[in-house]
This record gives sequence, C-alpha cells and structure tokens, in this order.
Amino acid sequence: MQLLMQQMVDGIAWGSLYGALALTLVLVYRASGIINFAQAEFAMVGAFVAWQFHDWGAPILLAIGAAMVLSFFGGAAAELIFVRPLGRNASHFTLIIITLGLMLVFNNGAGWVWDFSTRSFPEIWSGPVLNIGPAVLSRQAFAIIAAAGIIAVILYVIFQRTRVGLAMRAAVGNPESATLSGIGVANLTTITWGMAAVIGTLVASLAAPQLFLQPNMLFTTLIYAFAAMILGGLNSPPGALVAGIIVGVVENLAGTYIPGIGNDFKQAIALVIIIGVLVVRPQGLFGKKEVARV
Amino acid sequence: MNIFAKLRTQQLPVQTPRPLAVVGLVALLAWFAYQPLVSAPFVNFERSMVFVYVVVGLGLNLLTGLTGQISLGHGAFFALGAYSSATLVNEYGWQYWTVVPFAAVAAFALGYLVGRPVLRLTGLQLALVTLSLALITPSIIKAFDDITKGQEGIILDTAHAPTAVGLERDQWVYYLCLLAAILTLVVCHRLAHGRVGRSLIAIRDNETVATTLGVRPAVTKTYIFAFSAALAGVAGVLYTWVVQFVGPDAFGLHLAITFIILIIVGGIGTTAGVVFGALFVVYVPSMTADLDQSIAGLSFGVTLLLFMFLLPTGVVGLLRVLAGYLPGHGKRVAGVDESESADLDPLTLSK
Amino acid sequence: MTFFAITGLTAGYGQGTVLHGIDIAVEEGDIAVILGANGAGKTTLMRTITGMLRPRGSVQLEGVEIAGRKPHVIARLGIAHVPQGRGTFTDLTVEENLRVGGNRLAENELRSSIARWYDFFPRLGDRADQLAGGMSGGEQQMLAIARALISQPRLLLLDEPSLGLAPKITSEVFGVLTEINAETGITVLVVEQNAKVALAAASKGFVMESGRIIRSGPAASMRDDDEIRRAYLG
Repeated sequence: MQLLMQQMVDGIAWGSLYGALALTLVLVYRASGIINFAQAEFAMVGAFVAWQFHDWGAPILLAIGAAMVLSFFGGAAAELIFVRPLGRNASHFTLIIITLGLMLVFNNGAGWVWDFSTRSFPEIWSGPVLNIGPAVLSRQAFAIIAAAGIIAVILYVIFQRTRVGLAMRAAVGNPESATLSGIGVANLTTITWGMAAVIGTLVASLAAPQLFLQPNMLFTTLIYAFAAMILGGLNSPPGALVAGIIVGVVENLAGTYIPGIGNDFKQAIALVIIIGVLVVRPQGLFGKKEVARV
Repeated sequence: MNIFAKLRTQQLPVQTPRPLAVVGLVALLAWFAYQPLVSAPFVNFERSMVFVYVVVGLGLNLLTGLTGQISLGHGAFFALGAYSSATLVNEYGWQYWTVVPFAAVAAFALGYLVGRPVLRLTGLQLALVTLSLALITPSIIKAFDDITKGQEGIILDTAHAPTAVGLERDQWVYYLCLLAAILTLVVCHRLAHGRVGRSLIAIRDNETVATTLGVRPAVTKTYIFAFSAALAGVAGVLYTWVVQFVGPDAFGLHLAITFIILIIVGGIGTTAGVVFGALFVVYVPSMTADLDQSIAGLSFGVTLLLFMFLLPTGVVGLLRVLAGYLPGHGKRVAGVDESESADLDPLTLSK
Repeated sequence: MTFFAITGLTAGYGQGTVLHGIDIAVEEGDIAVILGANGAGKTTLMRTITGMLRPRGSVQLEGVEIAGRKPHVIARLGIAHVPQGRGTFTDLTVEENLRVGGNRLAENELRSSIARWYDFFPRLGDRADQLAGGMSGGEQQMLAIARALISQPRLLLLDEPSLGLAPKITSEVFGVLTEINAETGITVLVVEQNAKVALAAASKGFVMESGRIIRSGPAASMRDDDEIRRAYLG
C-alpha cells in the first residue's frame, strides 16, 4: 500500500511536469494550428538562461523570474520570425519541418553555448521531505505540482475574466469574426507563443534539479508531454494538465507493477497512448472534434 | 515571377536530349565502378554510406512524394534491419547477404502493421506519431537487451569479399551498396511511373473519382509505406556492413532528422534530389566533425530552416530554375506527360 | 460628399478576377441592398470592403480611404461586418459574444450598451450565459447584428442574413434592421438573394451580376420594376 501511494504521488509530480509542457503545446496549437516540436527545447534553453543568471550571482528565484521574462520575448520572437511570415495558409508540412529545424537549432545551440555536460541546478525549495500519508514528496516536487496548479488558476483568470483573454478565446474560436470585430489576431498569436515560452521556462527550471541541466534534459519527457497533449485533447488547456497527471501516474504504476516494463519500455506506453487515442478518439478526453482546417 | 517565387513553385524536370542522357549515365557508372580501385578505404566507406542513404531516401521520396505523408519514424525500420544483420550474423551464423531479404520482409511487415492504423491520420498527427516512434526507438532497442546487448552494442566483422573476387572489404562493400542503390532506383522508378504511381497521382488529384475507378487509397498508401519501410530495413543491413557496429543511440531522433534532411535538401519527390541529400548528410557532418560537437546538429537545423524558407523545392528545384534561364530552355514544351514527374508541390502536401 | 463610396473596385482570388470595377454610392442613413444570384460576387464584395481581399480601386467612408488597409483596422474605423453564416463565436456565451463585439469600448460604456441591446432583444438577455452555439439560426442572427452594432459603427454590412432562416424569421430580422435604422440612423448595406424582403426594407437598391453593378436606383422603383421582378422575385 505504501508503495502504491508513493508511486501515485511520484506520478502526480512527474505528471504535473508533463501536463505543464503539454499545456504549452496546446496553447500554441490553438493559436497557430501547429504542434511546435521545438517547444520543449525552448523551455530547456529557458532553464539554461536561468542557470546562467544564477551563475552570475543572482538568487535562484530572481534568476528564474528574469529568464521567464526573457522567454516571453524569445517565444514571441520565434513566432514573429518563423511562423507569422508564412501566413495562415502555410502547409502543415512546411511548419512541421520548421519546428523540427528550430528543435535542432535550440538543442545544439544550447550545446554550443553551454556544452553538453550535465550541470546541477539549484532547488527553489529544499529541506526535509514532506509526508503525504505513507508517501514522501520532495519539496521541489511539491513546488512543481504547486506551480502547475498556480499556472492553471492564472490562465483560468486570464482567459475567463480579462478582456485580453476573451479576445484570445475569440481569436482562437473564430479568427475571421474576431478580426471583423477589430481584434488583432496576429498579435494575440504572438503573445500566446510568449506565454507558452514563459510557462515552459518555469517548469523546466523547476524540473532541472531532478533531471540535471543539459541540452538533452527534456528528451525523455517530451514523449510523455506529447501523450498528455493528445490524451487531453489538442485544443483543451485544462485537458492537457489533467491528462498529464494521468500519464504520469499510469507511467509510474506500469513501470512498477507490470513485470518486464522497465524505464525503457515505459516510453513505448506513451506511444501506445498516442496512437490509441488518435485512432479511437482523436479529440482526446476533453477536446472538441475539429473541423479540418482548410 | 522573381527568382524567389520561382523557387517556391514546382518546376518541370529539365529535358535533356536522349543521347546526352545515355552517354552521361554510362560515363557516371564507369566512374563509379572505377573509383574504389583507386581510393582509400575510408573514402570508399563514406561513399558506401551515401549509397545506403540513397536507398532510404528513395523509399521516403516515394512515400512523401506520392502520398504526401511525412514519416519521421523510419529510423525504427532501419534499426530493425541493422539489428537483424548484427544478431543473425553473429549469433546464428547467417550469411551476411541472406539477411537482406529477411530484413526487407520483416521491415515490410512491421511497416504494414504500423502503417495500417496510422495512415488514416492527418499529416500533423502522423508526424507526431512517427516523431514519437523515433524518440523511443533507442529505448525499445535497450529494452530488448538480451538480444540487442543494450547500450553495449554489437560489433561485427562481416561482408568480406569472396576470395575469388580478390577485392578488399571496403571495395566489396562499396560495390554491394552501389548495386543496391541502382536496383532501388530502378524499382522505385518503375513503381512511381507504373500502375501504382498513376493510382497514387489519381488519389492525390481526386480521391473520390479514383475510388470509383477501383483504386483503394488506404491499401495503396499502406503498401507504399510498408515498401519504404522495407527499403529502410535493407539500408540498415547495408549500414552494418559499412560501419560494423550497432548501438541504440544511433537510431533515435538524430537519424530521423538525417532522413528528413535527405529528402528536403535535394527536393521532395525528385530522384536526383535524394543523391544531393545523401551527399549532404554524409559530408557535412564529416566536415564539421573537427569543430564543436554541436555544429553538425546546428548545421542540420539551420539547413532545414533555410531550405523551408528559401528553397522549398530543394537543390534540384534551384537547378531547374537556373536551367530555365539557359538559352533554349526558356519555354516549356506544352503537354508534357504529367506522370513523368511524380513530383508534388511540397507546399501543398497533406494538410 | 457621399457617406460611403465605392469606386472602380476590382478584386479576385489568385489569378481570377471576381469584381470588375464596382461603383456604389450610399448616403448616410440609407438601407442599401445589393441583389444578385449565386456567384454574382456579393460575398467577395463584402470581403473586399472589409479588407479580407486586396483590392484595386477606392473605398471611402466619409471621405477617408479604407481600401488596402488591414481588416481589423477597417473594423476599428467603424465598419461592422456580419459575415455569411453569422460568424458567431459558438464556444463563447451570448454575453461574451457581445463583449467581443464591444472590445474597443470602455467597461461602463460596454455594460450600458449591452443592457440596451438586451432591452431591444429580450431573447438575448434571457440567454446571456448560455453558449451561443446552442441558439437557433434566427437568434444567432440577432446576436450577430447586436454584436456588430454594439461598437456603435458608422456602417453596418450584412452578408445574406436570410441564409438558412425560415421566411418568418427573415422578415423579423429585416424588421429589426428597419427599426434600428429608424432609431439610430445607422447606414446599412445588405447583400441578399431574397430580393422581396430586402427590397421591402431598403431605401436604395443595386443589382449585381458577374462582378458588375448592372442596375441601381431607389428601392421603391426596383420593387415595381418588371425585369427585376421576373429575375429576382420569382
């Protein structure tokens, strides 16, 4: 029983990471209609930037905060330079290749600037582990879960209670009508990319102590984020977070309780989830069925 | 149309006069046949790798060019071929060349199994699924470590020339890979221009009409996917003859990107383009190997970006545009047979 | 100066030209209707006016040139466009739809504007917190008009408001338009296939065919015109 609880608690912690990354993917998908395969690499670079500030003497929280601010502009710039010029009629093929190119550039760019060795990354909340019933949870892991929750609340407030958020929802739901109402859809898209980058940097920085900071840090996490994104539904931000937790828990339980499924095989489960959901129920658990984007 | 606009539209193949083409081809073949006899082993091995990539590229070309589907996961089939070769030769004493048909069949079967459910997905979803496959391929290899020896990898010492032939191993492997590339070229050409190719062009142009004429899009697309997987599997076997080592990390994301570069750099849907792509992926990393470890990856990434923005039709597209400026090539002959070019505008491929 | 003047407007998609030099003049307070069969180019005209297509020629609102500007800029200059099919934000509530329409207004102005429209359309007020996608076609049309008018535009463009609506509802819609025009004096330009209802409400009429205006004049004279009767009134 204690093992089960522990696995669930660990699963929720990892799942928060997967869900938050999936959330960034979903935000970008809703705004631009593409899956940004480079999204995790943006986050990784953000964590490196935070590390760099800290290395230059800034306290870790300030470093992460500053990196988040920079990420906003970085993410917005990426959209402005690589996506917006192609217009709304760019083929998926072109966009896929471009995001792949960005993935390589960011990954190897980080390797070039900071090299491929692993670095340690300071925790923002250290101290004795927390006890959740029979299970234990590190404070940093709790911070990740809390961050995911806080992000969810902030996004809810933004989207449901502010003008900008409403304009974003309108722009995503019906870009043409939004434009006819005087909303600058293109700029909102750019802002969304900035927001996604900020979230990515935050969670990557929180996960870095555990994953150890290096350019390939998020490689194994990426596929779980994809699974969470698809399971939750490509156009559902809350779905991404919930699905992330589900994927985290399932992955952990499968690894522990199903014989033969070690660390390596667990990733295949993510692929099975992806294919399974796409074939059986493409809109995922919480998404809406999509009219094909013409 | 200015040059940038031209580079974005599909150009017709350059018409070369028959005799010139034949002479050129023969000369080229002769040069290929002669080279290994006078080149250092590592040069022969590098060129063999070019041929290996040509085999993969022709298969992917067929898939993307004819069905518009982009697969990022063919590294898995390549790995299947490579590990089949390593295991069957080392553990079970197979003759190295007998692994080729085995790998072809195994990869075809796996490709069919994978292709059947996923080809119904949209282009974006298929890209995601195949990218995920590429991401987990190294892990799957390590998961089966009693066969694959996991991270340790498997060392081979095979593909020696029969004593009667009297060639060194590097020369022998070169000729085998060259032969494979030529055979693949012929087969793919026949497929693209034969009944299958015409069916696929019919599907591309109007799927409903094609169905009423007896074409079954899903089945045909799956077979093409499986066939391209088989080619990747065969290439994987050849790879082991050249490199003599297999290890899980060689078959992950980096390989998947390499395959994509193969078809993008040259120009999607063009046969000559695959050769350019293969040259690119072999020689650019070897040129940058002395510099920072990250330069190869950076150059691949920048290449993808550059090509998508400036040269979506690839090097071949550029050459065709330039050829259009030569005197006498300005006008295109009206009524060129459409099936001559199994080319598709990359910018309008599967949405 | 003509309130709203289109001169020599030419536009199309890709290589094909759909509009061949359109000339239209509308005075302030007019309800102008553009009649035409399918394929005449009516929707293309609407989309060109609001900047979705790149035009050649001139479109002037109170003397200010708007041709060539971006769509959201044109919208902010006071032209509200209710597109074909209404363009409702189906995932937003009725009230949210109105708030989007009034996204340029200050908060208290927006609130009073919304309250005014709920008075005018009680059915909308009843459904304020319901998802707009669940409403009937007629209700969505009312919502689309309210959404367009909430920003107090100077010119209202409507693209085939009768599409998909029962005749009774269509009459209601045009009745509402006439009422609003009488009360606020807003200038309305409607594109319609249903000539009977449209001409009854309009003050000025145009007939469009194959991308050209072939007739124009007071709506009253068009109602009695035999040719038009035969061609468009069935």
